[in-house]
Amino acid sequence: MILTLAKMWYNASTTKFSSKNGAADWAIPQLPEVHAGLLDQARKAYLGEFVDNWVGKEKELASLDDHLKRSIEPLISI
Amino acid sequence: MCETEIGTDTDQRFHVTTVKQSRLLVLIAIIFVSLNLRSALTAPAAIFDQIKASFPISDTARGIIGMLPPMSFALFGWLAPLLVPKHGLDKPILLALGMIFLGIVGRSLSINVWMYSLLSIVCLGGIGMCNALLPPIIKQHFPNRFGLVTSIYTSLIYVSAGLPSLLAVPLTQAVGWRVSTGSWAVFALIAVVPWHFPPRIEFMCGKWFRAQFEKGEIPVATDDPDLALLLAQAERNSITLSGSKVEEVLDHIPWIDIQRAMRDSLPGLMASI
Repeated sequence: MILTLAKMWYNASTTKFSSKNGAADWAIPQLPEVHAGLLDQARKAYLGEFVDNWVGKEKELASLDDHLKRSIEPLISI
Repeated sequence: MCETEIGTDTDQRFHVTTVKQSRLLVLIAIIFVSLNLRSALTAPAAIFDQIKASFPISDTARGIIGMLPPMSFALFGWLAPLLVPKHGLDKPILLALGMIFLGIVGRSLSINVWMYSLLSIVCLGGIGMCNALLPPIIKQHFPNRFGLVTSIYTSLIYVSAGLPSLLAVPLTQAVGWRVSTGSWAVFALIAVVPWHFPPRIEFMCGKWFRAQFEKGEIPVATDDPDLALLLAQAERNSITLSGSKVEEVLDHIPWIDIQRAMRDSLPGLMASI
């Protein structure tokens, strides 16, 4: 789901479409460090390089989701 | 009906079955919309004395009625684009055609000058909306023939101005002013018929549905905002594995629809996290 948001962010800012992996590559350098680490983990889990375990990280995850949502919204508002 | 199997450069592969919205139908719709765009003004002008015989119209009222077309065009022509970001182009034009139809028919049944003026504003407002909406519609459906279709549309506007003037007097003599002015609503009705309605997803399958399908949960036809995103990706980043090429099956999905789809699907996405 975070990767879907990252994809939407990429799409909204560049008007292009990307894979989840590509969108994460693009998004990570633009994020504050704490968010970037989490997105990188999500990507690694998606690629099967890492078994994801989000227990205890709900708060950070919610804050990353919120950050992505806030980044997307101004790009797609009327 | 066309079928195609599409793999995008993301992780998606899906099978699309779609009825291609025929450009010919859109062209017919544009022609009939264009034929509506002046008849409501010119049809009553030539037979004003006959209308005056049914209910009194003062000279002041006549002056005001003369001012209604530019006023309604300006007002509704300005309002129509405000509807586009949220509702696209198709719903507002259907609304506009409905206004033209109701306005013309209602006006021909008027019992006093107030009713006549009010319903004139309704049909003229619909025309004002069409004036503003048709050029982007032409651009959307005929990006490569914008000039040609625009000239068809502009010349038909003049047909719509001239023909009612020509026929108003003989028609009125034959069947009275009410039928004479009201009959032009038939063009609005015809224009609605071929108009493109927003597409629906009838059926989608993909590997991510496997578990669901095996349990016998087959998705039903639905309006899905996400569909525009999926199809836009298919249009822009895909390789056809078998069947027709994407551009033969799908209409171009403009950026404004993609933005709208993102707006519509973001809340659901956030809620599912």
